[in-house]
Amino acid sequence: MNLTISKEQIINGLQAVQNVVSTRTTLPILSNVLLRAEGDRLELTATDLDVTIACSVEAKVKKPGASTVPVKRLFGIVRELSNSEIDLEVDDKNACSIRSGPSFYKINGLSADEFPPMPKFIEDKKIVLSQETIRGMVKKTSFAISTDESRYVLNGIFISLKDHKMTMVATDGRRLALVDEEIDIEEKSHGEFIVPAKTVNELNRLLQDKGEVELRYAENQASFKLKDEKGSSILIVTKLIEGSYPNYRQVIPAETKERVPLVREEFLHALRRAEIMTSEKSNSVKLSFGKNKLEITANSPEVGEAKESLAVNYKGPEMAIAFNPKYMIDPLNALTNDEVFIELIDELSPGVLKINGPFLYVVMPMRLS
Amino acid sequence: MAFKDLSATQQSLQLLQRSLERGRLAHGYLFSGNELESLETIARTLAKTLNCQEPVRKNGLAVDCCDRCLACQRIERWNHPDLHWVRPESKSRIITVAQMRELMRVIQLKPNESRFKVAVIVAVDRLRPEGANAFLKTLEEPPADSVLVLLTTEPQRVLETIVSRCSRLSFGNGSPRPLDAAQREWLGDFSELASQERKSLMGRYCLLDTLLRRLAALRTSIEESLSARSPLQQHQDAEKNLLDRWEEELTASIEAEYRRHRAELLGVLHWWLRDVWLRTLRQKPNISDRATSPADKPLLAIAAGLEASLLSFPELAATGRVAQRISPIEALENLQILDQLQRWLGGNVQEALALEVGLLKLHL
Repeated sequence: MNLTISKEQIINGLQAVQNVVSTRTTLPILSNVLLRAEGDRLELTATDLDVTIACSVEAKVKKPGASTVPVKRLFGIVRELSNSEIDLEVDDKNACSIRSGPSFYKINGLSADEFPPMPKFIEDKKIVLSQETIRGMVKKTSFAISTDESRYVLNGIFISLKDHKMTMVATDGRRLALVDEEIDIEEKSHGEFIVPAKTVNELNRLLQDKGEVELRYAENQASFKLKDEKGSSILIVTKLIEGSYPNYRQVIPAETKERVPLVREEFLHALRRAEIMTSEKSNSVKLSFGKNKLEITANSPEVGEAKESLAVNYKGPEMAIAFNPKYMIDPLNALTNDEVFIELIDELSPGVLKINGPFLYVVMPMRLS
Repeated sequence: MAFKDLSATQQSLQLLQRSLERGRLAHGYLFSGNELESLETIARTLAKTLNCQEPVRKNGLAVDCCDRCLACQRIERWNHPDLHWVRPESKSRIITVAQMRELMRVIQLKPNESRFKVAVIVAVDRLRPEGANAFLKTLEEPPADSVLVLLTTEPQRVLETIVSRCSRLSFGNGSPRPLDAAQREWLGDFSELASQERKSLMGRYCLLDTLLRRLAALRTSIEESLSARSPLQQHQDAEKNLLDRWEEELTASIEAEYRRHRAELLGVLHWWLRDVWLRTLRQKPNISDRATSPADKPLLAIAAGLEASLLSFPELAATGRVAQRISPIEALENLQILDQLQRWLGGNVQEALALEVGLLKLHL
């Protein structure tokens, strides 16, 4: 294998893939990145057997071929190189020579045959949608993913494709975030699956505002192919979580009594300030709704107290409800709309946060003491 | 190895095959037996049967593996992505919480290529309570199409909460495992020496010496065989931190393996002391009538009719000589001392000290 590549291109490629390389592995080959040169592209692949990321970048290939090199080392070298053009050459013994201006490096690699093969997708279940859409959906749900290992099905985002709708749900048992977008889905591509949190983090990192995503899935795995306008592409293949997702529909209140519009920024900042006055023992903020005003109070005996007043459009009876401030701040941070709506029933029923769009967030209140 | 190659007379094996035949496999099994190696073989055969590409079928359900297909071969070579092994690896031969967490994570993900995920936990008696507690929920209700197999040679040391969540299958027959030549020779020497001396301190330290020399020999042979298998030998050009980690893993696995062999050796000694005890019961019914409590009477009655067949090592003449010198109560105490010694060594006491105290206490 012999090729010339710009520093920018190879760094982009390595940055995309190197995150999945885990520090503790039993197989030495898993700390390597697979380099495959073909046509006028260099494809870089890294895997930890659960998630595989492949990224293809432009390169001038003089002699096609494949090999693997320790990814941390390669990345360390190319990042520090001063020249913008890099020559890569790999010999039969998998020794990789890097030449760039006055610098010369040689890294020992392993044979490409030893690298775990990329999983194949036989079934043709797929949809194509814009990166912006899926990025927004992931962002609006991923914060609610559970980290509790005893209910592992919740440690990921549930994706459902049916009835011309793509739905993403994440919950940890105390709050639930849901987004559904209208998308044309062929009958044969209907189905549902759970994507693990690790993959969701990678998606959050790699998804852009432009370009398209091709989502394919099968019984045990799913793949996201991210294509940008310039033609370079990133492929993420992931294993799925085993098990069936709980029936999340039943926790969404069918009917609510009060609907209060709020200015997102204002509400968010008031909550953030009030949160400072909470402690581990009393970690709730109280929202008291009165005529055309909302009072946010936090009170913990050992720290102090906070009181914030907001002018709102509220005509209903007086009502006070308490929430964990973090559970309110998370969705407000993830949203971008100017206006959000809080829907309430009474002080002990779940509160619902909505926007003018396909987003819904249910959060359990805390008991007022 | 397929089920048909394993001894078919074992009732537990038949039970296992019958549940395969009816498609009523439990989600968690606790296999107990005399030696981990044979239990591992059974667990591996079960994994092969579940994932075999051309299994022997009965009523459409796989009951045995072909042992030839790619899946079977990869399982044989420890190379199957859906068969997970966990064994005690740390220096104190303990299965750590981190190991269990990692196992739980892979079990909760969908399989790589086959239908079933199989996880085998070797020597589950070395699982600490922390690891066990983290694992309980997964063990009770693993995801669909996963089978958890727990192996142990000491089922009495496995936590009650773990045992109650598994189907228990016993593959041992209550007798000691057959000794290999080296162990037989060592036991011969040891018992001979034990029968010669009575109470002298010098004699006792001679005994300790034979034991320590045997242990040292064991450690050397373990070190040699494990070092040869370590990736350190194959990939000498790997990264520094990877090399360091392998080095660490190697020392840990040597220590763990040594501890296992040490426990085995003391186990052999335990069986021999049991022989001594049985002989004291048979030889001195008159003395023991006075010496033992009334509760032991029925035992003595059974012992009186003892055949040599109950003894584990009938060929050792020294057993009788030792038995003539001590009372049944003392012989029974010997067994307790050895049990205590095993428990000490299972914890983190200094080896030489524990062995010395143990041996000095023995009535010989």
